[in-house]
Amino acid sequence: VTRLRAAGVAAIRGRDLVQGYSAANSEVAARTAERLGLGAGVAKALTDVYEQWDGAGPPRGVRGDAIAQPARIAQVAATAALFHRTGGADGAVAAVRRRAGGALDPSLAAVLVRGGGRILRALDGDDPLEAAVAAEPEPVVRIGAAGLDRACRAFGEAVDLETPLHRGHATGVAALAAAAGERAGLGAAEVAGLRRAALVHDLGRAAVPNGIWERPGPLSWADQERVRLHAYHSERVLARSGPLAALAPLAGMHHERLDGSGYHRRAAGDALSVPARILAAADAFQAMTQPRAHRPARSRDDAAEVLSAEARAGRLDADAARAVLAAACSAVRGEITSQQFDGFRAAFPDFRATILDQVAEGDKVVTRKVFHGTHLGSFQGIAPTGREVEIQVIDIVRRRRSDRRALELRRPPRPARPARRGGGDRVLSRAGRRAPRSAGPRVRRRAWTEIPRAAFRADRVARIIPVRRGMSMRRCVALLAIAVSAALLTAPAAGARTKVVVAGGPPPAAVGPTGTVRFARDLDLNSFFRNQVTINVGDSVRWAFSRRVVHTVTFLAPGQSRPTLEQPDPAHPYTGFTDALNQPFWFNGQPSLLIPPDHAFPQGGASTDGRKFHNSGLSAPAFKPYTLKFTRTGTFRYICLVHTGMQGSVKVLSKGRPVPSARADREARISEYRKAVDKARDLARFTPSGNNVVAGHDSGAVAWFRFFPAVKTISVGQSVRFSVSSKSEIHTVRLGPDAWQDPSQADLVQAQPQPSGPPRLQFNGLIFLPSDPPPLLPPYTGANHGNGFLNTGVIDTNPKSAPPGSVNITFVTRGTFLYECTIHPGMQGTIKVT
Amino acid sequence: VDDLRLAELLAGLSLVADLGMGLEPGEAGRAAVVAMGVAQAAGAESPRDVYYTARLQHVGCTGYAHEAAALLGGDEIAVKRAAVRTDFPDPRDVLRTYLPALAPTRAW
Repeated sequence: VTRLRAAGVAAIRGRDLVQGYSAANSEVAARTAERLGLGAGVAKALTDVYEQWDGAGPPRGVRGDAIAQPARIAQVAATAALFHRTGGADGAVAAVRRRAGGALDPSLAAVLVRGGGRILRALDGDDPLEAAVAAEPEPVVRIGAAGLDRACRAFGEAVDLETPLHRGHATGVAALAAAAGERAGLGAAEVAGLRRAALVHDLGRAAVPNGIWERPGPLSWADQERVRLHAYHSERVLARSGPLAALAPLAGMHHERLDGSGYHRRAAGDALSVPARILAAADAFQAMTQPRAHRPARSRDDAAEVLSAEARAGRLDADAARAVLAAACSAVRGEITSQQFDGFRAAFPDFRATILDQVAEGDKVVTRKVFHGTHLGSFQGIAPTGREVEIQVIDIVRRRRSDRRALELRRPPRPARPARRGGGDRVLSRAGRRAPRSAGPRVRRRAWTEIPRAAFRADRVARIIPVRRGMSMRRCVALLAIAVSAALLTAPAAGARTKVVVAGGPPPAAVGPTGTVRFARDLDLNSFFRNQVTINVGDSVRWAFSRRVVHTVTFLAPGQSRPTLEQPDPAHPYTGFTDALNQPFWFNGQPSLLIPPDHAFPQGGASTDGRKFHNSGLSAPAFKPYTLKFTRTGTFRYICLVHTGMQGSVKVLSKGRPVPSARADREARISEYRKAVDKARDLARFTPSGNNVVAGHDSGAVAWFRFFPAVKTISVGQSVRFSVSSKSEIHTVRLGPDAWQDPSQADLVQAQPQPSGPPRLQFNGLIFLPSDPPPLLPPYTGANHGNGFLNTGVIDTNPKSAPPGSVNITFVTRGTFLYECTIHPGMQGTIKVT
Repeated sequence: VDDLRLAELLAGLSLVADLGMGLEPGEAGRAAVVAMGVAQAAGAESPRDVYYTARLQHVGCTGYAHEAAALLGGDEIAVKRAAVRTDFPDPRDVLRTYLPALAPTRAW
């Protein structure tokens, strides 16, 4: 009786199971076919492929000819192929004949029964995969690189459907790994390969029964073995996947660890390439932030801590872990992706909502956002205008209780006492202008200003609810729509326009998107974007300065030769510079390096006819945009006084002649970025030979703020030759016990207030000049100047300038010495003397 | 890069489905080879659709793995392996082929 009951239960469950699984199977398969671009015919056939001819079958009971013909043929073929393995051609024919009119289309079954031996002879070959490729009918389907990416994504996502625990894993790892790869300076091709490998790294999981992934308790030895094999299966699957074969070893290494404790090969150390290290770190991070059967999902902060600990323990590569964490951080930086804004996305394809600032107090969150987009589709009945719209919003909302953890985790180490409660119930969402300060609750900024903006998850922000008497998110969005409409309708009359040019690398937030271009933290571009901008007479150009590096926009007078930014000023020699031993530095009494006011501050007024000197002045510290109106036709070149070789031009046409639209300019700007950044990635793979350390490898327009190599190991008594390869940048090498920590001496420019007019600016001697009289630096003992201070002063590539093109330092003490470029904070290196 | 063949890519990727269905590696490829023979003999309307349907028919194998494992409490791959061999309209074959795979490991 028990046995009978068991069979009954199993039969019921079995029917549910077949019903459910064939429905889900065919749906996933059909979707995969669509994503591979195979068209509706294949998708329909795959939807039908589990139906039975007699209509008795799951998933929908479609019967007879209503089942797509390709599906009916595939069923016959699959049955024959399956039973051919065990029973040969006879077994295959018998199995097909038995199912004819039941599961299988009888006329197609008859075709196989009739042609049996001849058709099945095609299975005689040794390699079914090769035979299958050869069997494809002409014309064969070809895909490009984009199709390959889509295929990887489709398969990666299909395998992740296996269990809810894995959903989104492949795409998450791919996004992290690719962004981390870019940060790590991999070339564009390598990043593309890494992204693909990340999408397919877990395909082998399909070979492991789900019950194992979903078992909460500890796994048996045998189950552990099966789990470890999934990496091997991934590798083997990819090895047979034509264009992905080259990525098989990389994908198969995603569980390897630097110390050899990983699987499936226990590869270690040098056997793990940089992409493999990044993939392993990205996989580990992504997995930790998702739930697993034996543990809940970890918060991003916890996962970050674990990842760092793994790196410290020598299991993950520290650089790779850092790059992944940086990528994970920027992935959440202020981009709002709520579907509440779908209506905007239709009309503004590049619509972005960016959080500029966010302050939390108690359970309230004050957010300053900027919405930005180009009006290319109909919006609220307003025909496309092609205008770029930017709306600032400040709102105050109250978090749901469930979201509280997100903020508490990010509380800074010493939180200030919370401000008074009350008075905070007024609202405060005003489009287009700032909320008046007095109207809002008092918010103790100091307690929270240390919170990195990136720490807030944008999707949480989208879920927050407004304070009492405040607005729902929907009403906030409606209000925004009104503000956007108003902005579109109050367009300035056609006439004088202003075009924006970005000076240097990543543009300030107000300028808008850079498309898919991402800037590594230590990358800058010494170029203007777009490089040549075309306007009509009477139009203006506004230069928005990248905040990463100081630039100028300088139009020289006709016939004027390029001045150097600084000039020796014998009237104001350097004084008062002493070292840790209280000894004066040699350069006291030398002429100081003055930045003349003409170079440092705006000159020449707000409009130009191209016949005199115009200068924006140094962009730092305010990074205020510089606007110039052009009153005469012609092409006018301009330069950056700080970076040799950085130049652009403005082409001024007479009134009425066509000039590129704002949209065309934006696209061209993004394309110029992309080219420059692509070039930069290739340049980042640079390893100088011998005892050379090169600062900031670049090609003029591209500047890496790195030392190549970042870590150099030499023997005691040897010298390192530091040089600069950049044509547009200058760098220094400053050694010292606190070289990486002490920002107090980092002010490149010292300002002395004057009784009237602008302050006098001079370069800081400690940064700009060598710490010891040129031309030779003393050997480095680690105790120079009492605390190990040694500065090469400026190194540049200009043969005509005073600073040298390279500097040798002899290291006479064992140890690990950190150094940095004092001009570019964060640009650091290490010399290990053994 | 632009003339990659989808069929070559699928050669490996369809192994995923074989693994997930508990089939011998290359089963989807074998089915496609036979399907082309049948398509030719039967004068199929769209050989290309037949080919890709045969190659991809088990690609959705993961779509129901979670529910299947929950229903069966274990090795859903073994069950799927049995399912593709079962002639479902025939009750005897369901009893003989499919049911044994459903209840092998657990006392109900």
